[in-house]
Amino acid sequence: MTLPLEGYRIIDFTQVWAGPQIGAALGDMGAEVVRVESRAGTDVQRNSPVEKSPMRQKLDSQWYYRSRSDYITINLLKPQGVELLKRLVQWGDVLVLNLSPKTQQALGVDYASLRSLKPGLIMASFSAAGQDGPWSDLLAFGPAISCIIGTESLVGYPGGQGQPMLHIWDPDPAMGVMLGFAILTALYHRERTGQGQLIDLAFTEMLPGFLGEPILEYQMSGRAPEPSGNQHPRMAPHEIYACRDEDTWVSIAVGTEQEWQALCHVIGPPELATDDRFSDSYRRVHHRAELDAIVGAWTSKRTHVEAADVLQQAGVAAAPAFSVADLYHDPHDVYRRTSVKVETPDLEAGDVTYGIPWRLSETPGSIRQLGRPMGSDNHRFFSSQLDMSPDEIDRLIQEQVIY
Amino acid sequence: MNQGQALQGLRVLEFGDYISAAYCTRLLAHYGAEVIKIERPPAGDLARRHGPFPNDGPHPEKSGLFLLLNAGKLGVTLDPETSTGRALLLDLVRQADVLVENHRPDEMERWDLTYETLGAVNPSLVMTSITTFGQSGPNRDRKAYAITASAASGVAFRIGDPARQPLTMPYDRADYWGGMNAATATMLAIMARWKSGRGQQVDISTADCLNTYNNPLDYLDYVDTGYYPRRNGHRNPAIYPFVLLPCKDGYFGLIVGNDRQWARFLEVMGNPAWANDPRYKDRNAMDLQRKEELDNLIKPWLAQRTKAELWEIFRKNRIPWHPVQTVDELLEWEQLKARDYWDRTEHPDAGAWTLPGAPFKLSETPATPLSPAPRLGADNTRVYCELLGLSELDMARLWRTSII
Repeated sequence: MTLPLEGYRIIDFTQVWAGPQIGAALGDMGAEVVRVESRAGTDVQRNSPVEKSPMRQKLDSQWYYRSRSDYITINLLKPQGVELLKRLVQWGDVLVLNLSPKTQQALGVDYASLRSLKPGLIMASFSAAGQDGPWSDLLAFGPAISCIIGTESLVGYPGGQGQPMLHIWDPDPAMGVMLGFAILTALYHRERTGQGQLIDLAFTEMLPGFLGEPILEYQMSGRAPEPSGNQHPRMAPHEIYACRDEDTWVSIAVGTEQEWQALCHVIGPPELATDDRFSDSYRRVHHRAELDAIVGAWTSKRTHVEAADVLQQAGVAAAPAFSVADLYHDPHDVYRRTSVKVETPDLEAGDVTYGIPWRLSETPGSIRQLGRPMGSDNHRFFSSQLDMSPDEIDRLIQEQVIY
Repeated sequence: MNQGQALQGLRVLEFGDYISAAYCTRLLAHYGAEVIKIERPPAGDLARRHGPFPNDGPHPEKSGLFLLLNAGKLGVTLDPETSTGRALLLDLVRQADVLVENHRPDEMERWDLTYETLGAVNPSLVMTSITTFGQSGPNRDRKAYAITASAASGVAFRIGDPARQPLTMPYDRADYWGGMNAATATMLAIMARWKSGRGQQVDISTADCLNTYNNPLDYLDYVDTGYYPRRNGHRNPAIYPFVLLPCKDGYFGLIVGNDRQWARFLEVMGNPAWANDPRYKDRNAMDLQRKEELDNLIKPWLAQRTKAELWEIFRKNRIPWHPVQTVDELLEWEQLKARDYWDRTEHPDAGAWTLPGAPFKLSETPATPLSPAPRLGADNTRVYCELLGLSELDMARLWRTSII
């Protein structure tokens, strides 16, 4: 079957994480994705301030910038660069960018200016807080967005004087996925009607969708939710317990009476199953601390993998809290990553542990190639795709427009 | 020149429980898809029991989680364990573009509702299956809740105090991640169908999706050097400042700044004596071993100021540091109000509440407000009679025999 996005042209004019991530995924799924960068403002993926291993230094940009058809450079600090971008917009179907709303307007590359150049243009513009409103100039890194939208107020240990723990850096990878949904939704509409549009994505609006429950909890009860560790309002046990070896842990959650009986059968002692303190979910939640002590004593004598295996055999939801090292060797993870094919002299196929997390049975897509250096395809692309003469290209390179 | 909604005309069945499938189809509903939610009698979706409830009063039509996730959908009931219920489901599948489900593969096999069966009934069907471990591999039939996915994906290991247990993502967030990825992948399959006319199965493993947070480069680091990331507590140890510190009325995130921003911060603090100490003045030369010392030098100044005061000071000085807002503060934040972000639901039983709105804005096909979540079986007549052509008498029989 033809890949889902074959025949679509996507201009990836993004930086950092979310944009490069979705550019790669759309390329994996068949789109012709041209990556636009500039030496006037190198992306952190090309030139990170954080110290990395040699392998990582080499592969960061190759990974995030994989599966593009072309790598070109355009310098928007030059007026001719803006003109060049406008020519590029006429070539493409979708423009993805994360320039701030103010910068877009200053350069004249906002949607109102570009839409007349290309009928049916879809422009996905993502920003911290959206294209308008009093905070449209909001500047915030991913983890800081987790502060603003309330995630951080909910991550921590119960009774820990409210000290929040850092959540994982999930705003950027989540935005990458939501950008994909938004672009595909707009493409679907354009297929039906021919109409393009502006997609205005704000980190601060995409993420509260994960927090509807505490938002309603506050409204319905009048109590502002606080960090509750691993505790669950309906389930106990519902915790991540220490196992035998240093810094190893297993998650165990019991949601039904059948699962509770199965847990009792596995961890014993025989009187546990009939213990009045734990005889239904309500009582188990109420006596959570005593229950956690009993379950924790059992897990502390086992490895995290043993504990999870024996509980799962009995029908209890358990899984080790895997580290990256564990996952690299985990048989299930190894099995699931096998569909990723990488054919490149730089990497063994087994080195890349996953690519596309979505499995489409008929159109799985593939990692087409690892990323190449910025501007690798300037000559080829501008002459074959934008009909520019070699002289014109050389002149623009000299004038640091293609730069 | 509004031409309706972007996903208008797309008919989606949801056959699921709790969060992941419901969040996926809610995203589709925001942009105009018709979503028919299938619940199993007599109790329906587990989310109906979850709460929160208005004034803590439990009621299956008033559960906050259910109201939130199922706004904008039609609701029908059927029992897939009965042959008549299963036949109804197949009739719905014949008329649908998409089916989103989140049952374990062994359950779907027990009901004989696998893709093999449903794809034969409707070859253009896109069937999206969301589970924790996916449709293949040794663990595919394992039991799981959101905490199981947080753990199995490697995410929990990276949240929390290094000396204490890992923390799950708050409020079952793993399930939302699964649902969001499913929505994107479903649209990919819809685009593929546009070309070929054929449907396919979309296999979404929530653990695989979350594992994309551990990017491949983390694995390469491990293979290369043996290093792997652990929990960072309330600070990122590799860079300063990247820390959550207390202020007068809560916590503030001092998360990353360049040299100019650090210098402006010292100025804002009134250039305290310690700021002239070369050890602290230059952020890059700063010994990262001194980060707790630095916290302690900053804390008294933060402790005298509220989140709102600090946010104003930092904003004015173009320092990108932000408060740890609580959800009640988020509801009041002027930016979301100015952009008309929040949805309002008015449910006949549960009352009026504010819900998170659409995750992005489309200029030509804006999301329209979602209807309130359906009461259990609320649209049985509409769907079974109008769509499938059943008679009123059939309906009465189906209800009496507990099939719907």
